[in-house]
Amino acid sequence: MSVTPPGGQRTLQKRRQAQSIKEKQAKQTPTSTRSAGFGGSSNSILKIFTDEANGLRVDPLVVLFLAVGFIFSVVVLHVISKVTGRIF
Amino acid sequence: MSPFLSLLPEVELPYEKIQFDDKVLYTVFICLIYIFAQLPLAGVEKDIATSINDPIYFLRGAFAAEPKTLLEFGVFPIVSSGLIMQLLAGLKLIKVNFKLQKDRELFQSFTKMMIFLQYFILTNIFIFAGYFGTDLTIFQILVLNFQLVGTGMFVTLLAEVIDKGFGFTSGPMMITTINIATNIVSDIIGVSHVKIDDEGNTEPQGALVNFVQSFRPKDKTLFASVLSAFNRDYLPNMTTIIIVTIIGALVCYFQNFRVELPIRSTRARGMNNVYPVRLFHVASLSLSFSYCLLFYIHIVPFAFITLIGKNDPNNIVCKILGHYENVNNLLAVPTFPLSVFAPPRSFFYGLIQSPLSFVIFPTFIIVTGVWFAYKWQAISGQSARDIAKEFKEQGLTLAGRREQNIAKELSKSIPLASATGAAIIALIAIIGELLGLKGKAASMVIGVCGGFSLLELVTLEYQQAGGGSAFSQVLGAPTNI
Repeated sequence: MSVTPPGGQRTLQKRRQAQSIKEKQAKQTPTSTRSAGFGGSSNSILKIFTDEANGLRVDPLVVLFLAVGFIFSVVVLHVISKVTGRIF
Repeated sequence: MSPFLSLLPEVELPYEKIQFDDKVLYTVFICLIYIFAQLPLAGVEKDIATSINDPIYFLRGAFAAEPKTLLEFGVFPIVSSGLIMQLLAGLKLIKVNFKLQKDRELFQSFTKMMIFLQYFILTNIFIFAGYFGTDLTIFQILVLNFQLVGTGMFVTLLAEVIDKGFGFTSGPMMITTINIATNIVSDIIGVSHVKIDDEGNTEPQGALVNFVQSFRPKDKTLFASVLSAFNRDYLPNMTTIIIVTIIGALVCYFQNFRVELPIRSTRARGMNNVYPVRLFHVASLSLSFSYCLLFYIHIVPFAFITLIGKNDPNNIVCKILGHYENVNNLLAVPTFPLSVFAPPRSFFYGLIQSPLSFVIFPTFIIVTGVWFAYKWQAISGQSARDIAKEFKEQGLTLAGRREQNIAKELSKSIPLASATGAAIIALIAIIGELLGLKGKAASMVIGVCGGFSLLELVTLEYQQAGGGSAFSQVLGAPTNI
């Protein structure tokens, strides 16, 4: 078996290949919020909301109270339909 | 799309890290609110003649949905949009650069829009299919929309509160797990009496309670009443409870299966440890994904059959897609082409009636589950390459391996573990479903498996919180963990 001497075309090609692989990897965008390093879904956990997007900002406690209020509004609807004796 | 975005409600991120105790409170209250939302829908009469019954009865358990209540669709839109959108982004089918804040925000808002949209579409499919009664007034339709879409929005926001760090880890999973847990308890020892026939006879909801009471029968012979405790099919019976318990135990047993890779520190000598790669690397998510697909497979033909075909066997649409049959005045069971994607209602009956569903339904669950697990482990940010990167940052390496080869070595075990784990989870769920548990098996597997993945992170946080937690002091737990 002959040993190829170092240098020459082949080495250049190898270098080019290594370079292009590196570039490709650097260009690749992360596949999820977690692999970009910002938390989010992991292998066994589904997480959807990690960032604070633009929108109608609400406080978590407000959400909790509004949710309870919403449930009470449905109770009120029940009462109304009971009192009037018909379903609207 | 951007004008809508500014109107979407968005929960604020916490200014500082939330304390362990506060997290417990937030999580408990949110799950309580969710359970309170199991309120019957207003504007729907109880004993009204509906033209169609519950077509997704076997999918409800997996998504914490309760029929004819505010939680008609449970967390299904949240789980399905979350999983599917993240999968699409991970497979680069939609272009999102997660490094950019702007892209992440847009992606998140878009997911939320999809959730709201799905709640709205599902509600209206069910309304116009006649699920809530045949001739509804326009006002009733509006009230139903208000209740169901409103609940959907609030459930989404509650899940968001947990997700954003006010509660533990993941909102949708936390809600599902706790709901499944409460359902199992009420199935076993629920004492509330439910009317079972027109004569006004009642039976307790819990299977165990019913079993004990069956020794003092009121209107039946002793033998018939004990037998009925084991095979009543309108409420949970002892047989299902026993199978569900076995399934839960099986999942717990397999939960401990793992490969332990020896790791050592590159910085200090003698710091040896093991890095566990679980068999259930993807845990319950693969089964959730299969059930999401199953939901779509059933809801799309359901819309066609009821809205266009009017569920009339002579209609051309129903001749192609099959129709729904009324069973027990509770369930709408699909016929031939669709029935192969549904689990049988009981083992022997199903074996005679639709043997094909014993082949296609399991195959579907296993294939989709394994495919999902294989893709998800690569994109979710815990793939072999990501873990190798993490190791490098923490100054760890696999014992006896060069640093460059860590990713290669890990990629021998992680994809394999994910795929095998997903297949085993699917198999356990399928065995239960084929025995006729009507969705209870899948919900048990998702509940136990999801519970374990949540518990792992909660205990981690508890240990980090140290003895500072008032709960641990009150409950007398050892503080020096």
